[in-house]
Amino acid sequence: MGGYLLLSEVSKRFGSYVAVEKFSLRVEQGEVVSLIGHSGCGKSTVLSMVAGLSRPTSGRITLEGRELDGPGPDRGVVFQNYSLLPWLTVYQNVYEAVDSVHRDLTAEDKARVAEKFLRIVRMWEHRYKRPGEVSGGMKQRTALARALAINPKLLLLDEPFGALDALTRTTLQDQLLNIWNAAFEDAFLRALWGEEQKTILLVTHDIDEAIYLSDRIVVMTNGPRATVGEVVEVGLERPRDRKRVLEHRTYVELKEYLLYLLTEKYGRQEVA
Amino acid sequence: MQRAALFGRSTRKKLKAPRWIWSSLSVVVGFLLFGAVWYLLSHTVAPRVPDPLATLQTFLELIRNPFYDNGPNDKGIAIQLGVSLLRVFAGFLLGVLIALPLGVLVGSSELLRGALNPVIQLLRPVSPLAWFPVGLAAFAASEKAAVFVIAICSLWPTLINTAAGIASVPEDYKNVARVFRFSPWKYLTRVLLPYALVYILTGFRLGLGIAWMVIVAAEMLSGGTGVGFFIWDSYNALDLNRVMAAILLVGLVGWVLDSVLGYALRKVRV
Repeated sequence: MGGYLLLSEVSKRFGSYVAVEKFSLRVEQGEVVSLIGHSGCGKSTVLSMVAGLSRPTSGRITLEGRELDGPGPDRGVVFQNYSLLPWLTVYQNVYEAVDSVHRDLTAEDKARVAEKFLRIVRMWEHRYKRPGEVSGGMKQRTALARALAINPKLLLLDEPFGALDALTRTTLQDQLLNIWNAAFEDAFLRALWGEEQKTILLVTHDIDEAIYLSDRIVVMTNGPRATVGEVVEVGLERPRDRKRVLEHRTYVELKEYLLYLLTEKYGRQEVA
Repeated sequence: MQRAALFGRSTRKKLKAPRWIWSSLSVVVGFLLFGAVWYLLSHTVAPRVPDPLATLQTFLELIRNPFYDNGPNDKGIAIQLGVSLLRVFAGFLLGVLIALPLGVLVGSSELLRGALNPVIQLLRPVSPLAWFPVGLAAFAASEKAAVFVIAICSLWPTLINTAAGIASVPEDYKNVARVFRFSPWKYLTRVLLPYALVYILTGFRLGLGIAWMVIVAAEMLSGGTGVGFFIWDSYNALDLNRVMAAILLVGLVGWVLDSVLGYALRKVRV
């Protein structure tokens, strides 16, 4: 059997519209996997099913052998549009999530967890601001802190950097992996949660982002009836350095291949 | 030097037309026009209605000694207003206590919305005067009946607006609550109510306006005290100056009430 996160023949239908059909994927623990495809191809649908926000019409999704039933604290989600609660401060946004998920912790420890993650994403000095008062990148970092602070086994990112300018996007991509590591180098957090390896599932339409961040890239076919087109291994060793990666032959070849897949093999077909 | 020149010019420009002068000037002009029309009408088509000058004089007399108390049928206008305000707040608060939880429920359940909407639409347009006998029958006391009438007339905007606010909470925020496992209480206090606050306050504002409008009618029927009674009593004593002055006062108080909630609403929106 095997497989940490397992999607077997998952389909999603909205009325008579079949968005996703027979989508099967196996993700191992500690892997970073990207779903890439044209917008509207159903990649976010797949992610929201893994998040437990919508139910597959047919097929099964299991995490550690257990079938998913609704959203759970084992999966942290960073939403496409951040989805911070605008009436709460940056700190409260993180704290309320910690407070809800880690019910067994004391108030003091919850506050410490919230603080740790806000410091890691460098939002601690902005903690009293409301989401409306900070930049898009800062909102994204806060959303990331919120998702990480619940100590999920699986981190789900839905086009996390899509709405940001190119410069902020690259910085945040670099930070994502650093943040991930930093969180589990922290003595307090390690004592609290151990050193279990984290798994990331990421939805994106940015080829560079997919290559830079992932171990494997799942190219999806176009919807309706979207499914797994091709799974591409990213053979770049970690830790990755952006500059070195960009010059790497593997990177150049991968990018060309992915471009070919997206523009020609699974390119947009005109709907008659 | 250039800076000084610039500064000098900008202050001069400011002195030329401060905005508050213009706005207060337009207020004065508005009232003058209103007074002129009133004056004309009271001297032509409605000669028994006091003109603005007589009304203003009575108004000043009323507020010169607002707190006197010469027994049950002769009290200062501030006392009457105070009694009315207390009734309005009591009735309005009672309405809120009913409408707010009900609005949250109706807003969160489409089934409940379908079931209750016809009832709401049926009861909402009923006149306060029609509710009064119902209140009297139910509570056997005119004081309680007045509060009941205010409650039942003013709760609809709160109910409808709260329900609309709750029903329109974006899917994104609901998903946040689901993903991060918010308890029902946390969901209510951190997601639903904060999101619906603007709607709720708008409901309060409309409801309080209605409550203040209804109080005069309710007190005319219940008698004894309050501005409504004061107006009716003055009319029976053929003192129309007092009627008109009291109307002015009722309008002013209503304006203040509305401004307070309008201010709260602006604070929340920012």
